[in-house]
Order: sequence, then structure tokens, then C-alpha cells
Amino acid sequence: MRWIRPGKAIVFIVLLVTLGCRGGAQLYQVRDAPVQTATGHPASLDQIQKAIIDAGAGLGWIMAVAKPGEIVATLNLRSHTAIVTIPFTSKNYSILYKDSTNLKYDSEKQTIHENYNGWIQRLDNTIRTRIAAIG
Amino acid sequence: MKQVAAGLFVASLVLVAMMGCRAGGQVYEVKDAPIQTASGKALTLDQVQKAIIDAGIKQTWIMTPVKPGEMIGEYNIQSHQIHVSIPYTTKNYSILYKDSSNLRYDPVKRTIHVNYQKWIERLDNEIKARLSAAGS
Repeated sequence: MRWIRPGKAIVFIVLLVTLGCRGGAQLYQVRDAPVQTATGHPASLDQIQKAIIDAGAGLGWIMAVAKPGEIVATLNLRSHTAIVTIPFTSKNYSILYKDSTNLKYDSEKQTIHENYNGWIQRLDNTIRTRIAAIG
Repeated sequence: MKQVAAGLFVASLVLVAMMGCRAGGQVYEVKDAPIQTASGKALTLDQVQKAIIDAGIKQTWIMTPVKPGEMIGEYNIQSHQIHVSIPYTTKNYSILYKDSSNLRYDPVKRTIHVNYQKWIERLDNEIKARLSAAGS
């Protein structure tokens, strides 16, 4: 049994515990990002709605129009679910946390699973790209 | 310390054995899931078909229309293969088990490799996403 070094075993256990227990990251939200088309032409509310829906769906988000100027997006990934609300005008849009399951969301500290922020950034980038291509 | 090491060794053996021997899960199927677009607009059968094909392609399924309102999906991963039947209308769709190879499918118990459910859920999520954007 000498080949399993106690030292290594302890390092391994510490690593596992650290991975399991690391606190979440600060919740990332996009607030009032400007709607900017490549040509500089203004975009209509309908065009922006379509750009946001296409951006989200392309990344596997399920998109639903809650009311004119507001979309709710849901991402199901393995056992995790993230729900965001995306309010928008013809001038700007936001991506705000709404709800989640199995993402260690802490409402007091405003922290969440580290991967969440990556998903939001990717969604934001894709929305930006789609909006740029309008017109 | 030797005992700790021996304990860890035994624990990892048990773990490996459990992973190898775990029985499959129940065959997971999606039945009559509603078709829901983001804007609430109704879709044509062609739009539904396109959304399902696009979703399949995105998740590396091979999609083959059998007839209007029915698609066969094929998924190959490592040595595993799955075929599902996807019947659909303009109102709803299903994802039904058709056949498989190397997935320990048990037709009596209706059990299959545990990963099967994950693959179907992933496809289903993608279909839902594509449908939500269809016709917008």
C-alpha cells in the first residue's frame, strides 16, 4: 500500500473540498447596454426583439416574450436552470437575474455558480452581434 | 496513515464497481410537449419541421424526415447509437425511443444506459429553444 502516498491522498481530498466548497462568483448582470447597429441606423422594437430571440435560441436558451419590450429566457443545462429577464427599448437592453435552480444563488451576497456569468456574457455578446447586424 | 491509504483504495474500488454496475435508467421519452413560440404566434408544419431539424443538427443528430409530421433522429456517440422517432403537429411534438445499439436497452424493464436521458434532454432543450425563435 506504500504506493498510495498519504501526502498525495490529503492533497487530493483538500482539492476536492476546495472545489466543492468554493463560494460562487458575484452575480453578473447587464444593465442598459446601448443598442448599437453596425450602420448606425436606428432599430425598431420588433427588430430588436427578433435579434434577442434569435441570439438566445441559437445558444440553446428558450425564449418567451413576456410583454412588448420584455423577454424571459430560460437555460436548462444538465441539472441547472437559469432564468433571466431581458427588458429592452429601441435605445438599450438589460439582462437581469430572475430565478435559478441548482446554481447556489445567494440573494443576500448576490453570488451564484461561477459558470452562470459565462453564460450571461456569451448571451450578451451574441445579442450585441445580432443587434449590430440589424438593417 | 497506511490505514487511511488502504481505506481510500477500497472506497475508490467500491466507487468504480458501482459506476460500472449501475443499472440503466427508465427510458426517457418526451410526450406531446406543447409547441411554444416566444411571441405566442402559431407555426406552420414546415416551420416546426425546420426548427426540429436545426435543433438536431446543432446537437449533432442526423435528422431524416419520414413524412410530413414525422422525423427520425439518429445519434452516434463513441460506440453507441440511438434512433428516436419525433412525431409532430403544429401544436405539439414527442421524442420516442425507436431503437439503439450498445446501450443495454431492456425492452421488458424499459431501461437503458443512464446517459440516454441526458442526450434526449439535451435534444429536447434545443428543440424548445429553436421553436421559441421560430416564426419571429
